[in-house]
Amino acid sequence: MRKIFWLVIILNFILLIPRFKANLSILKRNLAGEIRASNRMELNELLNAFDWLKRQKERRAIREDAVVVCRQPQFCYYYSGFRSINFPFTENQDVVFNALIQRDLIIAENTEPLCILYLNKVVFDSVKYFQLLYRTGGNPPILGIFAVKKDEVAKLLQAQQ
Amino acid sequence: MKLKFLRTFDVKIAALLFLQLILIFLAFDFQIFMGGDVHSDILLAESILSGNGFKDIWDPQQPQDNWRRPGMPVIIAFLYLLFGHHYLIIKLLMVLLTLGTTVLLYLIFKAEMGSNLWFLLLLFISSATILEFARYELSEIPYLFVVLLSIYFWKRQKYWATILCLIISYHIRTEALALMGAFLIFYLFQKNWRNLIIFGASILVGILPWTLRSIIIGGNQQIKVLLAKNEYYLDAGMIGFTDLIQRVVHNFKLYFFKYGGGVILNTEGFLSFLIMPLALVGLTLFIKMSRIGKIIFLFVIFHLLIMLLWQPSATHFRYLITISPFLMLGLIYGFFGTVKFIKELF
Repeated sequence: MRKIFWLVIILNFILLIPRFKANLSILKRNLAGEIRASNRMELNELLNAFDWLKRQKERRAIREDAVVVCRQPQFCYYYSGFRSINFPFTENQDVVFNALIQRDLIIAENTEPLCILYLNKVVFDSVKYFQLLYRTGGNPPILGIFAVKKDEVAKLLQAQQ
Repeated sequence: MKLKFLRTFDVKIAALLFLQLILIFLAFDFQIFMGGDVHSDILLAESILSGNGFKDIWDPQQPQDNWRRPGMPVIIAFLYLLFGHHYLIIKLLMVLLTLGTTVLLYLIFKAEMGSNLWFLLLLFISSATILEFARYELSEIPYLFVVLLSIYFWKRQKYWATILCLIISYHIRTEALALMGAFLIFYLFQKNWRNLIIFGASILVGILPWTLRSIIIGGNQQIKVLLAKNEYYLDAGMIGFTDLIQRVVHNFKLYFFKYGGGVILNTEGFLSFLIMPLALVGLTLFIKMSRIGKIIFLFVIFHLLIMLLWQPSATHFRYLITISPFLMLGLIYGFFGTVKFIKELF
């Protein structure tokens, strides 16, 4: 009976081998200084976008107090230094649109379900109010950074009054 | 002198820890965990260190945070204060705490389990999920360490240290309510009114400040999410009775037919439907063998109950990690108990 359990333990160790094997290349790349080796391509594209935002901030191409709307506000602040908030998790496009136009920048990701469900539709249906500043490769691109066109938004708000 | 040192030093456990360290390294990734929680905890730690308190500094309004527990941010703030602002120091702490967890398992179950102890320790150090979480800067491993520390102190009848661990565990993860519940129900069943009152009152005093803070700044967000039909689709409204049943069935299927087996053994969930019941049977059998068996059984059951009630969108094997050593222990006794029972039948 105990022998069977020893076999279970040995099997448990053996089942680790494929995992270690898969991790070995990541570990090697890590040790060679490539820290983001294990990231999916989409995630690295998002981090590149944050790096781009950070560079724009440093060269003052974008205001320091600009607020970004995106899926991962904590990531955005951690990597770019820009304060950030989520978009509303609702299919009511008016609510999402009104939340977006109050801010300065939007990161729309084409591979993330929450963005696809709630955000992207609103941005692409109202291109008049959003200007594409940055996009990744791919067709459609993995992500895009949009600036809110404050002048167009002001005209819209004036027309509504 | 040298011989005396060798006599007091358990060579086997040292070798086991060395092996565990090698395994952790082979599964290691130097990248910061990209799941989201770590970044929040680090930013909250930065907020604490800058004297702003527990605020969401990434948000333009910088509101008081009412979602995260303070445990991890405080630990990170302490580490950053001592060693500088780099996430690798958190990873290092996780590795040390994983090794510490193995030591605690050894110390807690050494007397109770006899030679079965090595089955538990080998299962634990070879667990792919434990190895994975040993490199993540998440609260699972610190929480597990504190849970085991509370049991260790309780076993040694250091009750004030146990209470302190319970209070700390609540500030690391909300599911510590399961651990607190386990201790209180244990004393209730024992009709040990003195300890029930002392533990209950002390825990209440310990968790009151943070609970009051949550209430003052808008109520417990986790309760709100728990009661929402879908945390990512708030238009769906609040949960109803039928939704609750559907949620429990959905979570039960995942935890008992998929994730459980993968957390206890490296089976990718294969045979989960067999492994989870065996583990629970084993924990029931362990009640008769050890004084701490009842506490562990109650803790595991209450923890699973919380997991079954939680948002289906958040159902994940990570929520079993904090009870995984106990499920492994249950599997060992469940396996031997079942084999014995079958042998007796025929």
